[in-house]
Amino acid sequence: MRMHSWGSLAFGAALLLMAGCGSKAKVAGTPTNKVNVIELGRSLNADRTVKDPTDIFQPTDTIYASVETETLGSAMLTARWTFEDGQTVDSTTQRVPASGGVIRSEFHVWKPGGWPVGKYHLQITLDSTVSGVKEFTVK
Amino acid sequence: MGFLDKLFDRKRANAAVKGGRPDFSNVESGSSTAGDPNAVSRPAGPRMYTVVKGDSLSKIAEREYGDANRWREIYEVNRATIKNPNLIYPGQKLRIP
Repeated sequence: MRMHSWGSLAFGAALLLMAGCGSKAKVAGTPTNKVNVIELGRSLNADRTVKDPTDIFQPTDTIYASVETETLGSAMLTARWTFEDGQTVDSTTQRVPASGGVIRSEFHVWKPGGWPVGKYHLQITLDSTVSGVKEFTVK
Repeated sequence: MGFLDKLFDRKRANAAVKGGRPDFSNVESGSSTAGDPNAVSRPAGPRMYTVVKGDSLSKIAEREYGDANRWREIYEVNRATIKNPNLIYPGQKLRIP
Protein backbone atom coordinates (compact mmCIF):
# COMPACT_ATOMS: atom_id res chain seq x y z
CA MET A 1 0.00 0.00 0.00
CA ARG A 2 2.80 2.36 0.96
CA MET A 3 4.74 1.37 -2.18
CA HIS A 4 1.67 2.03 -4.27
CA SER A 5 1.40 5.60 -2.91
CA TRP A 6 5.02 6.41 -3.69
CA GLY A 7 4.56 4.96 -7.15
CA SER A 8 1.53 7.13 -7.74
CA LEU A 9 3.41 10.21 -6.57
CA ALA A 10 6.33 9.47 -8.88
CA PHE A 11 3.98 8.90 -11.79
CA GLY A 12 2.18 12.18 -11.07
CA ALA A 13 5.48 14.06 -10.84
CA ALA A 14 6.58 12.61 -14.16
CA LEU A 15 3.30 13.69 -15.74
CA LEU A 16 3.70 17.22 -14.38
CA LEU A 17 7.26 17.37 -15.68
CA MET A 18 6.15 16.24 -19.11
CA ALA A 19 3.32 18.74 -19.13
CA GLY A 20 5.75 21.50 -18.19
CA CYS A 21 8.15 20.61 -20.98
CA GLY A 22 5.30 20.37 -23.40
CA SER A 23 3.94 23.82 -22.62
CA LYS A 24 7.37 25.42 -22.95
CA ALA A 25 7.85 23.92 -26.37
CA LYS A 26 4.44 25.11 -27.39
CA VAL A 27 5.11 28.70 -26.32
CA ALA A 28 8.44 28.77 -28.16
CA GLY A 29 6.78 27.68 -31.36
CA THR A 30 3.70 29.91 -31.14
CA PRO A 31 3.65 33.01 -33.36
CA THR A 32 3.32 36.16 -31.30
CA ASN A 33 2.16 38.57 -34.01
CA LYS A 34 -0.51 40.72 -32.42
CA VAL A 35 -2.19 44.11 -32.43
CA ASN A 36 -1.62 46.01 -29.20
CA VAL A 37 -3.47 49.28 -29.81
CA ILE A 38 -6.00 50.75 -32.24
CA GLU A 39 -6.73 54.46 -31.97
CA LEU A 40 -8.94 56.76 -34.03
CA GLY A 41 -8.55 60.49 -34.48
CA ARG A 42 -8.47 63.49 -36.80
CA SER A 43 -4.70 63.92 -36.94
CA LEU A 44 -1.46 62.16 -36.14
CA ASN A 45 1.72 62.94 -34.32
CA ALA A 46 5.03 62.44 -36.10
CA ASP A 47 5.36 58.97 -34.56
CA ARG A 48 1.98 57.95 -36.04
CA THR A 49 0.18 57.97 -32.70
CA VAL A 50 -3.17 59.77 -32.68
CA LYS A 51 -2.98 63.35 -31.58
CA ASP A 52 -6.64 63.79 -30.66
CA PRO A 53 -8.32 60.41 -29.99
CA THR A 54 -12.04 60.42 -30.67
CA ASP A 55 -14.80 58.22 -32.03
CA ILE A 56 -16.98 61.10 -33.21
CA PHE A 57 -16.17 62.84 -36.47
CA GLN A 58 -17.54 65.54 -38.72
CA PRO A 59 -18.36 64.92 -42.39
CA THR A 60 -15.32 66.86 -43.62
CA ASP A 61 -12.80 65.09 -41.39
CA THR A 62 -9.96 62.90 -42.55
CA ILE A 63 -10.26 59.86 -40.29
CA TYR A 64 -7.02 58.33 -39.05
CA ALA A 65 -6.51 54.92 -37.45
CA SER A 66 -3.23 54.35 -35.66
CA VAL A 67 -2.36 50.70 -35.09
CA GLU A 68 0.43 49.38 -32.90
CA THR A 69 1.55 45.89 -33.83
CA GLU A 70 4.02 43.51 -32.24
CA THR A 71 5.45 41.01 -34.68
CA LEU A 72 8.35 38.64 -35.08
CA GLY A 73 8.88 39.75 -38.66
CA SER A 74 7.00 40.87 -41.71
CA ALA A 75 3.22 40.77 -41.52
CA MET A 76 0.27 42.05 -43.49
CA LEU A 77 -1.96 44.55 -41.74
CA THR A 78 -5.35 45.38 -43.23
CA ALA A 79 -7.85 48.08 -42.30
CA ARG A 80 -11.37 47.52 -43.56
CA TRP A 81 -13.79 50.39 -43.10
CA THR A 82 -17.52 49.74 -43.42
CA PHE A 83 -20.69 51.82 -43.12
CA GLU A 84 -23.61 50.92 -40.87
CA ASP A 85 -25.43 49.25 -43.76
CA GLY A 86 -22.52 46.85 -44.25
CA GLN A 87 -21.23 48.59 -47.34
CA THR A 88 -17.44 48.60 -47.63
CA VAL A 89 -16.08 52.12 -47.52
CA ASP A 90 -12.44 51.21 -48.07
CA SER A 91 -9.97 48.40 -47.52
CA THR A 92 -6.22 49.05 -47.39
CA THR A 93 -3.39 46.62 -46.68
CA GLN A 94 -0.05 47.70 -45.32
CA ARG A 95 3.06 45.55 -44.95
CA VAL A 96 4.66 45.60 -41.51
CA PRO A 97 8.44 45.60 -42.09
CA ALA A 98 10.52 42.46 -41.66
CA SER A 99 12.40 44.01 -38.75
CA GLY A 100 9.31 43.27 -36.66
CA GLY A 101 9.04 44.37 -33.03
CA VAL A 102 6.61 47.01 -31.82
CA ILE A 103 5.68 49.17 -34.79
CA ARG A 104 3.13 51.91 -35.43
CA SER A 105 1.21 51.98 -38.66
CA GLU A 106 -1.49 54.38 -39.75
CA PHE A 107 -4.44 54.20 -42.09
CA HIS A 108 -6.54 57.14 -43.15
CA VAL A 109 -9.63 57.73 -45.23
CA TRP A 110 -11.08 60.90 -46.65
CA LYS A 111 -14.19 61.49 -48.69
CA PRO A 112 -14.41 64.47 -51.03
CA GLY A 113 -17.83 66.01 -50.52
CA GLY A 114 -18.05 64.74 -46.97
CA TRP A 115 -18.91 61.55 -45.09
CA PRO A 116 -22.55 60.53 -44.86
CA VAL A 117 -23.68 60.80 -41.26
CA GLY A 118 -24.08 57.50 -39.44
CA LYS A 119 -22.17 54.77 -37.71
CA TYR A 120 -19.04 53.22 -39.14
CA HIS A 121 -16.97 50.16 -38.32
CA LEU A 122 -13.23 49.60 -38.62
CA GLN A 123 -11.85 46.08 -38.64
CA ILE A 124 -8.10 45.49 -38.30
CA THR A 125 -6.73 42.22 -39.61
CA LEU A 126 -3.19 40.98 -39.03
CA ASP A 127 -2.12 38.15 -41.31
CA SER A 128 -5.73 37.22 -42.09
CA THR A 129 -6.71 37.13 -38.41
CA VAL A 130 -9.19 39.71 -37.16
CA SER A 131 -7.22 41.45 -34.43
CA GLY A 132 -9.44 44.31 -33.39
CA VAL A 133 -12.47 46.43 -34.23
CA LYS A 134 -13.47 50.03 -33.58
CA GLU A 135 -16.81 51.77 -34.00
CA PHE A 136 -17.15 55.46 -34.74
CA THR A 137 -19.81 57.96 -35.66
CA VAL A 138 -20.00 60.75 -38.19
CA LYS A 139 -22.47 63.47 -37.25
CA MET B 1 -16.57 75.84 -37.02
CA GLY B 2 -19.75 77.92 -37.07
CA PHE B 3 -23.31 76.70 -37.12
CA LEU B 4 -23.81 77.57 -40.81
CA ASP B 5 -20.58 75.80 -41.76
CA LYS B 6 -21.70 72.66 -39.92
CA LEU B 7 -25.11 72.85 -41.56
CA PHE B 8 -23.48 73.19 -44.97
CA ASP B 9 -21.17 70.22 -44.31
CA ARG B 10 -24.11 68.06 -43.25
CA LYS B 11 -26.15 68.98 -46.33
CA ARG B 12 -23.21 68.33 -48.59
CA ALA B 13 -22.47 64.98 -46.96
CA ASN B 14 -26.05 63.85 -47.12
CA ALA B 15 -26.21 64.84 -50.77
CA ALA B 16 -23.96 61.85 -51.41
CA VAL B 17 -26.73 59.54 -50.19
CA LYS B 18 -28.76 58.51 -53.18
CA GLY B 19 -31.71 56.19 -52.97
CA GLY B 20 -31.03 55.61 -49.29
CA ARG B 21 -27.64 54.07 -50.00
CA PRO B 22 -24.52 56.21 -49.64
CA ASP B 23 -21.96 56.31 -52.41
CA PHE B 24 -18.40 55.62 -51.22
CA SER B 25 -16.86 55.21 -54.66
CA ASN B 26 -14.82 58.42 -54.34
CA VAL B 27 -13.27 57.64 -50.96
CA GLU B 28 -9.54 58.26 -50.88
CA SER B 29 -7.28 56.36 -48.54
CA GLY B 30 -3.68 55.75 -47.59
CA SER B 31 -1.43 54.17 -45.06
CA SER B 32 2.14 54.10 -43.80
CA THR B 33 4.26 52.17 -41.37
CA ALA B 34 7.14 53.33 -39.21
CA GLY B 35 10.60 52.21 -40.21
CA ASP B 36 9.84 51.11 -43.72
CA PRO B 37 9.33 53.98 -46.16
CA ASN B 38 9.38 51.54 -49.05
CA ALA B 39 6.35 49.77 -47.59
CA VAL B 40 4.23 52.91 -47.65
CA SER B 41 1.24 52.47 -49.87
CA ARG B 42 0.26 55.80 -51.26
CA PRO B 43 -3.34 56.90 -51.30
CA ALA B 44 -5.22 57.14 -54.55
CA GLY B 45 -5.57 60.88 -54.12
CA PRO B 46 -4.72 63.76 -51.84
CA ARG B 47 -5.19 63.61 -48.11
CA MET B 48 -5.00 66.18 -45.37
CA TYR B 49 -2.19 66.63 -42.90
CA THR B 50 -2.25 68.93 -39.88
CA VAL B 51 1.03 70.72 -39.24
CA VAL B 52 2.57 70.15 -35.82
CA LYS B 53 5.19 72.17 -33.97
CA GLY B 54 8.63 71.65 -35.48
CA ASP B 55 7.30 70.71 -38.92
CA SER B 56 8.68 72.08 -42.14
CA LEU B 57 7.71 71.18 -45.67
CA SER B 58 10.91 69.19 -46.11
CA LYS B 59 10.30 67.28 -42.87
CA ILE B 60 6.78 66.43 -43.96
CA ALA B 61 8.09 65.35 -47.37
CA GLU B 62 10.72 63.18 -45.69
CA ARG B 63 8.08 61.53 -43.54
CA GLU B 64 5.48 61.16 -46.26
CA TYR B 65 7.68 60.24 -49.21
CA GLY B 66 11.00 59.30 -47.63
CA ASP B 67 12.56 62.18 -49.59
CA ALA B 68 12.88 65.68 -48.13
CA ASN B 69 13.58 67.12 -51.57
CA ARG B 70 9.97 66.51 -52.58
CA TRP B 71 8.74 69.36 -50.36
CA ARG B 72 7.92 71.40 -53.46
CA GLU B 73 5.18 68.94 -54.46
CA ILE B 74 3.41 69.68 -51.19
CA TYR B 75 4.02 73.39 -51.60
CA GLU B 76 2.59 73.45 -55.12
CA VAL B 77 -0.77 71.98 -54.17
CA ASN B 78 -1.04 74.24 -51.12
CA ARG B 79 -0.06 77.55 -52.70
CA ALA B 80 -3.42 79.00 -51.78
CA THR B 81 -2.66 78.65 -48.08
CA ILE B 82 1.15 78.79 -47.99
CA LYS B 83 2.47 82.24 -48.77
CA ASN B 84 6.05 81.45 -47.84
CA PRO B 85 7.25 77.83 -48.07
CA ASN B 86 9.58 78.46 -45.14
CA LEU B 87 6.67 79.42 -42.91
CA ILE B 88 4.02 76.90 -41.99
CA TYR B 89 2.13 76.94 -38.72
CA PRO B 90 0.98 74.32 -36.18
CA GLY B 91 -2.65 73.53 -36.83
CA GLN B 92 -2.41 74.48 -40.49
CA LYS B 93 -4.02 71.87 -42.72
CA LEU B 94 -2.08 70.85 -45.80
CA ARG B 95 -3.09 68.69 -48.68
CA ILE B 96 -0.58 65.91 -49.30
CA PRO B 97 -0.64 64.96 -52.99
